Amino acid sequence: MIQVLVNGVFLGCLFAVVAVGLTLVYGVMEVPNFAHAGVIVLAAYTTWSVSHAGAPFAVAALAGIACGGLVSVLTEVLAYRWIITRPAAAPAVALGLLLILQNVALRLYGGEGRSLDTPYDTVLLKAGSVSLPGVKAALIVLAVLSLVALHLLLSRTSLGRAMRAVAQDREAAAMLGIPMRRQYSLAFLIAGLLGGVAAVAYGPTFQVSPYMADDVLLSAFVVVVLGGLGSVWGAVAGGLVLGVVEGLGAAYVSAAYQSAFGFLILVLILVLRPGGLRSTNARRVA
Amino acid sequence: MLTDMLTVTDLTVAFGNTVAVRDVALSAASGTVTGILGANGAGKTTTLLGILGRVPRRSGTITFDGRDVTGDDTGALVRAGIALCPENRRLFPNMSIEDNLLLGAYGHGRKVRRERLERTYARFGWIRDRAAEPAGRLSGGQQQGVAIARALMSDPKLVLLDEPSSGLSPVAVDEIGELLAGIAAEGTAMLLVEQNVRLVRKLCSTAYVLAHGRVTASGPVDELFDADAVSDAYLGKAG
Repeated sequence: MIQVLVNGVFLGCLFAVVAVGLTLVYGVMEVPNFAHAGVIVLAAYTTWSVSHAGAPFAVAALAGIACGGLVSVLTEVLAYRWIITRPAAAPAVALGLLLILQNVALRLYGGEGRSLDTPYDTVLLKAGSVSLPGVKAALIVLAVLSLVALHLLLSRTSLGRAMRAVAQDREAAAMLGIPMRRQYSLAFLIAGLLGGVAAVAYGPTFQVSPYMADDVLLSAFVVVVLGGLGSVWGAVAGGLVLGVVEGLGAAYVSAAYQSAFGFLILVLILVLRPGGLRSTNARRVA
Repeated sequence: MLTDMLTVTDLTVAFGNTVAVRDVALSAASGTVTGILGANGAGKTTTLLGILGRVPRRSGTITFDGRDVTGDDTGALVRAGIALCPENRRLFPNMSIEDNLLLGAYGHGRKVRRERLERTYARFGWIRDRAAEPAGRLSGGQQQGVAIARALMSDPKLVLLDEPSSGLSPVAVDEIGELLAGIAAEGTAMLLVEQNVRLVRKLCSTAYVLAHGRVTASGPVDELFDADAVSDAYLGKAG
C-alpha cells in the first residue's frame, strides 16, 4: 500500500509541475495552453542533445530547462499575444502550436524514442519494503523545489504580486500601471521553465519522443480543472490527488485503465463541484 | 495663483464608430478638487479612462505637470504621477489589504514601497491592524478607503476619482469627503466624477458638466448649481 502511495506521489508531482504551468498561463491570459506539451518535448530533446554531446547531466538539464522557458516565451510573443482580444481563437492556436512544436521535434530527431541517461539511473532508494528508483526520487525533489520557488516568487516579490493581480482583474491591474505584456511573458517563462523541469525529470523515466507529453498534458488538464482554473495550489493539490488515485487504480484494478480513473475523477468534480476543489468567486494565481 | 496640473484639450474617445466623448476640454489645479458631473452615460468615466490611456483616444492633447503626455501609455502616466481610484473600487478581493496597497506602488523599489506603506499606515491606522486580511472581507466604506490609500501609494500629483461615494452609507460618504479634502489640502490635484451632489458641493471649487459626451457647462460649482446647469444635465435638457 505504501509503495502504491509513493508511486502515486511520483505521478502527482509530475502532474502538479505540468499543471501549475498550465494554470499560471490560464490565470494570467486565459489561454488553454496545449502547446505546453510541445515545450516539454523540445526541452527534453535539448537535454538529450546536450547530454549526448558529452556535457555533464547537470549542464544538459539546465540547457533543457532554459530551452523550455525560451520556447514557451516564443509561443506567447509570436502567437498568443496576437489573439489576446480574440479568446475564442486561443484553443485552435494552442493546438496548432502543439502540432508545430511536435513536428519540429519529429523533423529534427525523427520518431524513434531516445533514452535519456542520468547519473542516478542505477540508484535505488529503499526503506523497508518500499523502494523508489533514483529517477523518480529526483522528479519528486525537483518538483518540490520548483513549486516552493514558485510560491516564494508569487507571494514575496513585486512581480509575483503583480501576476496575481493580473489573474484576478486584468483591467484593474492595468489601471495601476502594471505592464500587461511583461506579465504575459513572465507567466509563459515560468510555465516553460516548469515544463523544462518536467522534461528533465520525466524524460529519464520513460523515453524522449515527440509525443512523450501528450498523456501527461491530458492528465495535467484534469488536474487544472480539479484544482480550479488559475489556482496554483489547487493544481498542486489536484496533482497529488490524481497521482494517488491513478496509482491506486493501477495497482488494485488494472494498469490498463490508469488514465481512466483520472477522467472518472474529472467527471465527478464537474458534476459535484464545477469550480474545482479550491474554487472561489474570482480567478487567482496563488 | 493656482497652477494647472492637468490640461485636457479637445479629447475625443471613440469605440469603433461610436463616439463616447467628443472635444472635451478641462483642467485641474494642484490643491483643488475639480468635479465632473452629468447623468449616467454622459461620458464621465470614459473621460477619466481617456486621460489615463485606458480607452482609445481619437484626438486631443493632454498636458500633465507642464509636459505633453498625450502619447504616453498608462504605465508611464502612473509613473509620472497620475493615479486612478476606479469606479467600484476594483480591489483584488483575494489578495491581502497590504498586497493591494503595495500594488499601488508597482515599479518602485522595495525601500520606497515600505516607506509609502508606513506613511499609509500612519494616515489610516485601522488598515495596519487588518493589513493581512483579504480585501474582499472589508465593508464598502473600508474598501473605498483602501482604494484611495492604494491610489496614494504611487505618490500622485493628480488623483482621478470615479464615484467614490457609490454604494456607501451617508456616514461613510462624510468620512470619504473628509479624507479627500485632507488630501487636496496637501497640494494634490483631484478630478472627481461624482453623482452625490452634497459631496460635490462640499469638495469641489469648480466643475464641468457633461452631457452626451460633451462639456455643456463649466465654472464655479455654486454658479453651476444656481444656473440649473447641473439639473438640466441630469434631467436631459442640456446638450
